[in-house]
Amino acid sequence: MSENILRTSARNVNEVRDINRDLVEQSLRMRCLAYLSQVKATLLTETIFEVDNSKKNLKDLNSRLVSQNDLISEQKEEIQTQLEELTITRLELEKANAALEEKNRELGRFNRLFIDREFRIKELKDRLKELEGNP
Amino acid sequence: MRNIDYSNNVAITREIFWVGFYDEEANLHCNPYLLIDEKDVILFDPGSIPHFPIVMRKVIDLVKPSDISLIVACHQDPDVCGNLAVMEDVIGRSDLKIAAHSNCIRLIRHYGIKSEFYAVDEHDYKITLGSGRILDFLYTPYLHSPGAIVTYDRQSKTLFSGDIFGAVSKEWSLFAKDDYLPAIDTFHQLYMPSNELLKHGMENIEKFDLERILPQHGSVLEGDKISATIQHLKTLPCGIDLAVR
Repeated sequence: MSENILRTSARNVNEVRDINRDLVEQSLRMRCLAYLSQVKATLLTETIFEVDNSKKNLKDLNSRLVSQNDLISEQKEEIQTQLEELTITRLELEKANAALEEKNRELGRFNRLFIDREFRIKELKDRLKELEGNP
Repeated sequence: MRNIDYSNNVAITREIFWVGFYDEEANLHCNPYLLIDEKDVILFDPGSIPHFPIVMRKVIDLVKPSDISLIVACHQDPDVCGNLAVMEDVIGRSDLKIAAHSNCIRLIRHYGIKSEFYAVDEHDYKITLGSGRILDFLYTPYLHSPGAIVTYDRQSKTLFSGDIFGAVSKEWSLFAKDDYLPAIDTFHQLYMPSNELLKHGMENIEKFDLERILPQHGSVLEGDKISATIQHLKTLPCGIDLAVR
């Protein structure tokens, strides 16, 4: 009877020891997992923070790009206007130039006429002298 | 032959305990050791994340986690000290120190360690414990890490050898049996870079007065096996010697 009790007690003690060992290991495993989860959570938070920062930076960059794009558009419009004005000016200058060229050509014609006339007068003067010298 | 219950910590001396995980399926066993001195408790090569619960439970069976004042990492590999960050979290001591060579500390930092490092190469390759006990560190470059160290306890004449004297095999026992050399050969031929470096390491190690060698893998070497293994490894071709062939 007492042997049975001793055997049963020893078995129970062993069982309790084994259960206790398993529980300790399980709790340490959970502690380890909790730590790793905490590390993961920290890393995740930092990553989210980094992504958020990066997003904000991209947003800032985008708005700067948009404003620069607007500026470029304005400058482009201004250049276009200036180009149109220059085109008009060029056309006017071309017209003026054409008129000047026409006038120049006309003056040339007059000049040739005057020169021809001068030559003719000289010829006539020479002929007159010739006739006066030979009665 | 001793009949050992590997589900519990195993006393190697009255102060030194094996607190590793015996994985019957594994070919490569990791051996963390605990040295309990009068005022300090030192944990050698605490192991990997998957081994953490068992290693820590075996530590807790002996001491409180907060009793651990120093962790020695022979090099930076994850099987050696991958669980350092969790370990220091559970130990919870602000004055916990982690001893390693500077070449390894540079890498160990990447585990996210918060504790203070004790660079052995900046402390004359030794540390004096609270009791006055001295642990010597020997630099064993490229065996197999550029910053590998082994630790010698003058008092117990014990060498905590890290990966040197490691072994890989299906049959494992904590204390080396008679046919232990082939498993040591396999490990060294796989992981050590060359016989030239290994021989150099052996010549430095044999200067110690050794009663036992506690490797991080493989089995504990005692008695005649120590000298026999050192002499054997001095001539063992490994790494580049075999690759060139």
